[in-house]
Amino acid sequence: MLKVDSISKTFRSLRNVVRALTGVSLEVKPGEIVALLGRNGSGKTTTIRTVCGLVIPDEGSVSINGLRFGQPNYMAQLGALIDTNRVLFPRLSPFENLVYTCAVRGMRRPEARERAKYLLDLLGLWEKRNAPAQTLSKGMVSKMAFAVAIAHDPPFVLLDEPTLGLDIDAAEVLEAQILGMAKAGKGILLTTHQLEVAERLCTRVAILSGGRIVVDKAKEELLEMFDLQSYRVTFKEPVNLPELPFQHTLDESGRVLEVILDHPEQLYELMRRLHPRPLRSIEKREVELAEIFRSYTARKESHSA
Amino acid sequence: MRKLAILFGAEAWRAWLEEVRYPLQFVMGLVFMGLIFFLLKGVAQLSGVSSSNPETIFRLLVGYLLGLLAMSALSGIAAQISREAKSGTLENMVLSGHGLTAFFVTQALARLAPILLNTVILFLVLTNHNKINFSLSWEMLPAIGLFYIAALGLGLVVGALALLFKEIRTFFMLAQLLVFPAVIANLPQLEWFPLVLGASVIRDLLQGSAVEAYWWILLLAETTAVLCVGVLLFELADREARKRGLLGHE
Repeated sequence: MLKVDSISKTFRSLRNVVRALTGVSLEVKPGEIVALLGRNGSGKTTTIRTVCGLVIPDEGSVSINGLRFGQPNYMAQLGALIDTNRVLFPRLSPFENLVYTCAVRGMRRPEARERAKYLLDLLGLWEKRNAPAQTLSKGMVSKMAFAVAIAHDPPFVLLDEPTLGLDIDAAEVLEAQILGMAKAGKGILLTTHQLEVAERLCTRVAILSGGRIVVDKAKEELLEMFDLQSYRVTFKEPVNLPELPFQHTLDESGRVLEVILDHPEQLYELMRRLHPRPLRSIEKREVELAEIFRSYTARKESHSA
Repeated sequence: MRKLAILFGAEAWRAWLEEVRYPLQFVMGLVFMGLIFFLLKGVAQLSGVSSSNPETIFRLLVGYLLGLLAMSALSGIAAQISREAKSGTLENMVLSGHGLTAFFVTQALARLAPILLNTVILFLVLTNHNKINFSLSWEMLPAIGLFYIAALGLGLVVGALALLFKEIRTFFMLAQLLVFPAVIANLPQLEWFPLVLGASVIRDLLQGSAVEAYWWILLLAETTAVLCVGVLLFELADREARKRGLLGHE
């Protein structure tokens, strides 16, 4: 299991002090895809970089299958895609880049060549195996970054925005690989701003806001919980809304209000505030992960304000 | 040790691929370095040093080539750090689990072959052109080895600065200004400086003189000390860069 245990990190420079993470804890079990979501600057990349050992936390620890960073074989448990744009040795071809990556991880040359061939085939890059790395398109480089991350077939993989900038076909190929890896028992921690990608892939959702984890739940549990708190209110005629202390949107016609409550009992409060506007219907509705994300990050921001 | 051998094998393969892919770079480097030597010779002549004296030319030539070798080690690690940070491959080095010190030292050693080949070709061509006689002995190998390791130790110090401060081009220039004249001129006042001591031992060996055990012991002790300081500072800088979150930044 990959375990992030109460890590905190503050970056200090001459000009400013940035509290990046506060007591962040997370777990990724084998076969699980955990989506780490958050707005820009919420601490996602710092969390990923800390797990990789690129950042040393001020407090807390990270362990993988009981091994802590610095212990032999910690890194053998881990593969990471940190930057999809910059990952290749520019003077080597994709095939050579992968053979080198495998060789550095201890594979013998014939084994490394086999693995490189397998990965290039898998990601549809075999045709480009001998092209200079500088001539690859952005999408191809992203796929190569993914291939480099999983070259040594690690049990845990960290993916920082893996589908960023990919066209729909390339994104589908990558998503299929990620799902396949999880099926094969690998634990995956991924960050993304594409919430529909997270919704399709993940089994668990952790949301970071202001450097803190504000929610960490199984995706189904989270969606179910929000289904109980999400309502669609339809009015007989366009209305002006009173001040509502819940996340809500009123459509352009001014007749349909969608609202997410913090807990189901707030429905009474909602009704009280909407009175005496003419109601046509009120119904529960299914929510999407994007709305849950907005709800949590907005809530955190309003609390900190 | 097995891990280092794996790393060395992979790095040597990468260095070889990069060299053979750009052969003109190697040839032009050779021509350029040859031309710089003639420029140096001209400057020496203008400043009143007799360039017809084989002894003077020999000192200049050996000093120049050793200076080039030292500079490749001195700036090589820092230059490689900047290159890897730019291409985004520095993170992958960390993720490989070898540790950055092992990575960059191994990389420098794996890239030594073309530099040595360059130096030997230039040495043979220029000694032949200037009709200089020299003698070769097996003792040259440890002498050049110790000279290079000392330069590598200093290279780690410069690399440590590159890890923390990123842009250190002016420091490179300063190092070049200090190291080149020190190695070429072989000033007695700087005899304690490891690179100068190493250069002096190599010069003596090439001229067929015996080197006393005392100088060997001193050279070995100095080289070990410089390498240890280099490794220590590089490790500290690596840790500090991770603490500040700077690793992998350009």
